[in-house]
Amino acid sequence: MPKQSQTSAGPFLATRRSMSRRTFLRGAGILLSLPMLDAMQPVFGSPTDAASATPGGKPRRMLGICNNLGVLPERFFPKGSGGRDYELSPYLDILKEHRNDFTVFTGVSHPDVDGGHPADNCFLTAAPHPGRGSFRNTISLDQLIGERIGHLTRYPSLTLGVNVARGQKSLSWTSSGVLIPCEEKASEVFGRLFLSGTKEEMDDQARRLDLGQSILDAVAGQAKDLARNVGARDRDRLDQYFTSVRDLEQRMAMSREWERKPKPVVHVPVPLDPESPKAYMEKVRLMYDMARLAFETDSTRSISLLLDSVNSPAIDVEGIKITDGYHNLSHHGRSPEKLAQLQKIDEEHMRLLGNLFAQLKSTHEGDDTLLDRTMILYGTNLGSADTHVTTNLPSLLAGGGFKHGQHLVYDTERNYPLPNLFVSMLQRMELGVDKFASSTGTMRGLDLA
Amino acid sequence: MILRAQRHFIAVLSAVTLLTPLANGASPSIDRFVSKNCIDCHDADSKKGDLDLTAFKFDLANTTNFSEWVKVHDRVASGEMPPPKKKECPNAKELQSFTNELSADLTAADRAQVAKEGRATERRLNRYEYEETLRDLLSLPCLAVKEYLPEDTESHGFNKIGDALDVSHVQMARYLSAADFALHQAMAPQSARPETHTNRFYTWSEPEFTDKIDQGGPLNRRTFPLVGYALQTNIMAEENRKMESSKDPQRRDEESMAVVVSSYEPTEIRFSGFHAPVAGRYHLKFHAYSIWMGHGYHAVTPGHRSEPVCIYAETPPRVLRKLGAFDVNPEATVNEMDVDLLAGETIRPDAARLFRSRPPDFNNPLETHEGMPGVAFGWMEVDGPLVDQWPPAGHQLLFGNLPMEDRKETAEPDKPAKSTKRRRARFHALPGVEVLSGDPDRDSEILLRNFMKRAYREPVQEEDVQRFLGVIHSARDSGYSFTDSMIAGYTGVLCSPGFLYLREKPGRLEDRALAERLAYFLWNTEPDAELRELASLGDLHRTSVLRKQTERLLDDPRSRQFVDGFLDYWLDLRLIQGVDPDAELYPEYQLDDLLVESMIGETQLFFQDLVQRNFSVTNLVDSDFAVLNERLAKHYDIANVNGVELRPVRLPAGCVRGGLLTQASILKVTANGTTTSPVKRGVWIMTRLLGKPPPPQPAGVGAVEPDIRGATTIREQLAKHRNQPTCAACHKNIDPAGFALESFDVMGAYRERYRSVGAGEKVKGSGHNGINIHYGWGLPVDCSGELPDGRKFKDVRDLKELLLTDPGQLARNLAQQLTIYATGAPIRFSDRPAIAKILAENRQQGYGVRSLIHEIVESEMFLNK
Repeated sequence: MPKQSQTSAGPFLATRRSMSRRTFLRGAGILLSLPMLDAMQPVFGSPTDAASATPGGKPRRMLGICNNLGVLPERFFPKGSGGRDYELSPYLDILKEHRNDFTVFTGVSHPDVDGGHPADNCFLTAAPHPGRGSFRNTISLDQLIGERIGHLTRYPSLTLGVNVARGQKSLSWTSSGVLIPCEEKASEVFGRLFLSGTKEEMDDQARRLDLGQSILDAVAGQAKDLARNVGARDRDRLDQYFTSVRDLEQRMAMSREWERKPKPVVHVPVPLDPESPKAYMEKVRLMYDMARLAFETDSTRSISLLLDSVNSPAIDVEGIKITDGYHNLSHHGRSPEKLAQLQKIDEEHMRLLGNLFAQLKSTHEGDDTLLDRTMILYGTNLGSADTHVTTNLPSLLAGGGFKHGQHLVYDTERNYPLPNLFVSMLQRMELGVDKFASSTGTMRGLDLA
Repeated sequence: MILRAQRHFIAVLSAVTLLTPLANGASPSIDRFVSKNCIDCHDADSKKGDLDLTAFKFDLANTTNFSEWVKVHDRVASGEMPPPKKKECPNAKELQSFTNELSADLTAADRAQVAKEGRATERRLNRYEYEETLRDLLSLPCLAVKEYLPEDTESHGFNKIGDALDVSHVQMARYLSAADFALHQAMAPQSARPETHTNRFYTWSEPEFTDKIDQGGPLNRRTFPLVGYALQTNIMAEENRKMESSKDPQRRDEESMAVVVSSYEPTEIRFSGFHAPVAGRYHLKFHAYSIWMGHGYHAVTPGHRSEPVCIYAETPPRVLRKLGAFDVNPEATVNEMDVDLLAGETIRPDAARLFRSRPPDFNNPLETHEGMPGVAFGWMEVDGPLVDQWPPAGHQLLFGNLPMEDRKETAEPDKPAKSTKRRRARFHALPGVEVLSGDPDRDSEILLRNFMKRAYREPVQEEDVQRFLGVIHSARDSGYSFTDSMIAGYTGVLCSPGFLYLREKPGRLEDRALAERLAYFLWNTEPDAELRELASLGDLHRTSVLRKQTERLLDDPRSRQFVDGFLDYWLDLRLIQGVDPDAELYPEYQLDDLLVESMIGETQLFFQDLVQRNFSVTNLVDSDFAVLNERLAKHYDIANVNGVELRPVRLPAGCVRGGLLTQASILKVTANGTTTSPVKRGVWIMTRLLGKPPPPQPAGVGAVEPDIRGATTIREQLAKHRNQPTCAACHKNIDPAGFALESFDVMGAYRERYRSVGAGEKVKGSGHNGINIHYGWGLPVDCSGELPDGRKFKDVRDLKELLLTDPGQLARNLAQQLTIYATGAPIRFSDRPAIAKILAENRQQGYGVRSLIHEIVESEMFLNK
């Protein structure tokens, strides 16, 4: 048997690295679990961004939802050439009472995001080629928002999921391409939002912040000493360092404030988590509730929610017996039985979404309804789960202060970039962003209300 | 008429006013020259070229003013100004005395500035340097913290310029997390030394291989159980199979799982029975052979050729790190590699030449009517972790030999998955350790002093020790353990300016600062013990010592960090993955990781070769060799290069390749994914390779939108633009090189015709992604052109010959690029004599690249702040 030998050094020396949340958590020390230092929870942008985030004090929010098996495209997309007087498709007909609260898109996708199922990792990031060896993800929409305005609320962002195995998947990624594991239990989300920690937990967090401050004091002191005997240009560099340290200290102090403030009180019972992943639809409903409550109490302004249908078994849906696992069903091959079941599942999705819209509309904040201040992006990474294509993604945007009630139709052959929608959303939040991933501008045809 | 009269009147008027000096602070002779020769056009009314010399002070201490006068100097010195059509041109003597005087003034002013503050501004480590420094300091070769930190600002082409390396509170917060993370990575994950095991992982027992036997969808996405070459059809037909490798060792060695696709969703084969239990060194062996899968997937015979296999370390889900590559042959081959793994990583092989089976077509481009190639994997053997000391070196730096005990497991162990089909082993992270101290006050001070001495690259100040001791004490006072308190103190050290900034004082560098400069130049990391020792003895600045050390650093494998870091910016190699080739026009490149990796590798190893073998800078334009493997050779249409390993190959006579210009990586980074632009490539070559950057694009002039329907070529579109005299002035300099490179597509393959998505004869077949080809042939490429001096070329071979006639300019450019990179400061006016000296010496040395590095290190620019 011939034997060859080769070491790993040399032409193929690896150049790209990243780390898992798991490795990360194991390595995490006391400092890493400080909210603003957790690389998984980047909190801050520049102070100017933060200040301009809520001009006039009108908070804007974002909920990004991805169902990673999507819906049957032929029953989702409206026919025709678009416009305001478009005819609702069978699925959108379920949302008809909210017709003027959403815009539906035809002919959009994330440029170069291919690879079938792994594309769900990129639903909110739009990083190209998720299946490739050199792939590294980039910051997701929700995290970018959290980084910019996260300090205005108790939590910079919430990362939620349904039927995600062990939380090891989500839509949220840091700027260094690290996955943020999701919260999969509604009861735990509820606990984070509304149940106070024990005194020990609160003291512990305060202690961590003190420690962070003591480190910053030490390095700031050194910078000050070093700046004493240097020329003007060098001093300018050290002054900049010093200022950055002071900025961070201020943000730590703000974080400490949050620790002291009591959590909001809501008069709803703690949700009961369904035992089985078969109760998929119930779990979706509960996560929608959690998102709504979080927004109502202004506990966060940015939420991502992955509906991990790929990982779901034969699920319970009212009114029909589902005979096969969700993923298997989606490869329907035009089988009438499978299509009928999928249709029931999709319709249930639409009903739940409609309920969420209705609830947000019935809640008022200032002169607006909560829906007017909440952008809800509902979509999928697959144009059709049957063929795994990642173009022509069924997607809609509801609420948030846009002129809705229209069907925007783009080129179904050469798709219009969906990241443009993200830019429009970021601009709606007045974050001063004019580029996101492969965007080429703002969403053509979508105007602010 | 009226207009002309007015202008005449103004000219007379200004001439009159100019009898008195400009009162701008210049010497009378400079003033006279300007008044006489320049002011006609460059006054407040005409303001030609946006320059009004009447309102222009001579205030060389002001940087903007200084650089304007440099422009005046350079335009006059080059003969561009005053324009020859001017009636009373100054004579040569007048010109010479003007430029001499101005040059002397500029140099004096510049030198005064440098004497006061130095050429370079105090700068922090960039993210490359920060990562490499932590790796060395903490003995963690795979530590990945670069991605924690925001991208560094590029200035003068590099990520090394002090004035641009900013710090924000975001950066500060990320430093804290990165340092905290790195320190925990350095600590022993458990108190007991991990045992070294040798284990074999058989593919027949690996669910990621066996689960795919009956995978839905096209058959080519499946895995196929084999014994030798015998296809196990009975196993394939079984329902509810439970596969396990055989107990009989002889048979077990013949069992394998074959694929005819490379590793991509959903056929992502991996040895998930193995997860590296701790970070460290491992020895891997792979048993595999190439096969031929008969048509219809009914029979397997030995492969017709060898197949490249790339090995990746994978952190679920899908975070990949390439470890190496080898070839497997038709007869079973065992390939071995020594690798560093992170805790929890598993191993993924990828038979990289095989296609990625993507919807909707799933067509195998390698399939013939007789069948298709494939690779069979038998087993992987892991020997490790190979531990040479415990606790690891990084831990010892932090905690010496203090006793430790395992931390209690606090995290909930994972619940077993409910699904019965999957039985993948899962990684359980080790709990970490608590270091114990009987005398925490004493121990913490000893450990901290020791750590700071090693982490800081200059003598540690007592007040700094006290600062971080203060952090440690306050942590302990608030109830943190000894271990956590120490880590908090160390985190402070690693985020402090003393660690983050390269500190230099104006004037001649002290030996310590010189050691830093040299190490960050040639290794992108901190000085090692030998450099520190020489610096502390005060020997390093001695020419013979410095030369010897430069040689040593260049000979060390770490010099690869210089090559990669320098090329990432100089040649934009870091941007190569930025835009991908258009799926419709370039199906053969889709999802071809091996091609892209080989392209990057070629340029890195090529430049490394120039450095290591002191080849002439002329090789940048043309060389008689290229660094190739089979994939690249196929891309370049060069025969008889086999195997996956990149190595220097002598090029056949008349080959268009050779030099940087025709390397695929360069042709890629100068194109977008769909079309090439002679303008973009031309500008890039002028700027990066020839050191003659063209003036910036005028405002309001957009780029030409290329047409991929096949009706017109980019050259025809550009012609309209170039024919306008205002445009032609610059474009005659910019475009020629770009025209010659039109012979290469967006990935650097040679072409004689463009591709088109509209008209043209259609091409048949399918791409590397298994999707049918849809493009057709477009118009022919015209790659001829003419240099601004009138010399014509018919293609890139000709162009290279013309460029080779001025090796001095190639050396000048490389010298400047390297100097900026090495000193962290742009080239200034007063650097010109130093550059000239370097070039004169380098010419004596046959323009060798390694010699050039020595000459830079010995230059005044490098030896002074």
